[in-house]
Amino acid sequence: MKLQRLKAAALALATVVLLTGCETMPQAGGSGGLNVLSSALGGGSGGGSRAGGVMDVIQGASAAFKDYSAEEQRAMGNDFSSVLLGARPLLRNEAVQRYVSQVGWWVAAQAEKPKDKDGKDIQFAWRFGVIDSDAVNAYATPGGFVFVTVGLMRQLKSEAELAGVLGHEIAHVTRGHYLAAIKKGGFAQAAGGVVQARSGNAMVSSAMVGLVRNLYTKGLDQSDEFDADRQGVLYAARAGYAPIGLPTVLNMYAATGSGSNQAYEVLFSTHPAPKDRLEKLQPFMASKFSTAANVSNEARYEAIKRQLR
Amino acid sequence: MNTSFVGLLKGLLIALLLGLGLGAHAQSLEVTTATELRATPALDGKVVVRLAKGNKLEQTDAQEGWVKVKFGRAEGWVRLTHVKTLEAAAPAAAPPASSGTNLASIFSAPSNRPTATTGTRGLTKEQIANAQPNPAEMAQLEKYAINMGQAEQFARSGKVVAQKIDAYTGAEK
Repeated sequence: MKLQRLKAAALALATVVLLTGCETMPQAGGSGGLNVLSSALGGGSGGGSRAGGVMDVIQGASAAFKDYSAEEQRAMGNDFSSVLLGARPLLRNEAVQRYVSQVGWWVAAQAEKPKDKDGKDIQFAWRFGVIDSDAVNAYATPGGFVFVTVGLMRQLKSEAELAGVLGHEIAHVTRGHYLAAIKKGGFAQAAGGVVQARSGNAMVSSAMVGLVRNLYTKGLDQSDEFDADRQGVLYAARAGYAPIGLPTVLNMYAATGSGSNQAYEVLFSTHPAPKDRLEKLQPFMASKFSTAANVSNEARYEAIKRQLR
Repeated sequence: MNTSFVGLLKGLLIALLLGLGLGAHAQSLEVTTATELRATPALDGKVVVRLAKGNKLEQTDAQEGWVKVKFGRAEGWVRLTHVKTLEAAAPAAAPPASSGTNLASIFSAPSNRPTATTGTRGLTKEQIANAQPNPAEMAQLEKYAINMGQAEQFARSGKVVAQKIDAYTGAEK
């Protein structure tokens, strides 16, 4: 085992730390993760010394998207994704995984690139994953990670619908919705931030684990969900798909899902009601898609879907 | 029944958690006996919805004998004695309040708890709330990664052609 270097990464909040206490989570494999973040934040602390520059990442009321460099967002996304995949693993099917990645990258290429704290465009190295779960849901994380469940893919009927769903998740990334939620949401009470330490690249800090658990059971700001719906439609349409894809999926949620159906439990408790989302989308749908393409690629989607039985 | 010893214990536990500043933190609860979600914390409060045993709730607040909860999109008050806390079942659920700011405890040795992947294929709030980092799956995700060139090729073969469409301005409302 390598020398463990202690670095202090400032993140997270009193509530999370109180909840998770002093647990630390093993993270073997050295995937970088928060280590990058802590290095980036450590100022001149360099390697080898412990607890160098410590600063409060999540503090005050003004921090949001521009508070983070691309590397910091990526590091966060890596840790977030690691925890989410701890709840359920990826589907072991390369064809399905590659298919979703291809649709995802193509749709993501249509999004306006956000700028980091130095005013530079962020180029995301997108990672799309299909989670092996019967639940119907999709997630994203800062830094360009997007996940959809097998349960959701089984409910979709075309590539255009998948493009709409992925577009919605991509928008959460490119428009900083998770970064905003870290500060806002249930974490707003955190006064001054909390110092949390991380040992080399061996662990995801307990505070980070607590933050992810909390964030993904609580969900994002409702207005950000409405925003992601509009952007998702826009990105999918720019990609050349029928813009009706995402609204069709929302209709499906309204028709087949409910908060008491366990497969939809998390989706419904973390999102506005599907009919409210459709209502909000309505004026936007009518505004600028009259000349949009109408490609749905049902056959290509069905071929993939047959592998999900 | 409402003043049963077990109920009292639960009340104390929740009060303790609130005392630790966890009141604002989403706490998962489960309905232990059929009851009502009420608009106000009173027995004659308007019934918002009836709750069945086993329903999962998200606690947002609490006061004498009542907890404020979210149930799906409904919100209201439920008798403290009619619910149990799900996270309280875990050992050492209530660490000392000082642990979060005590650097010595933060630097303590990692637990070698195995990464938990449960047997079910669900993805419930409980599973997310108990998820451990899974670096092996992150390595797997990297194996499935593609690049932009592959996506462009894929789009061409599917006859999906990029369109110029202006950004959302907000004026569309």
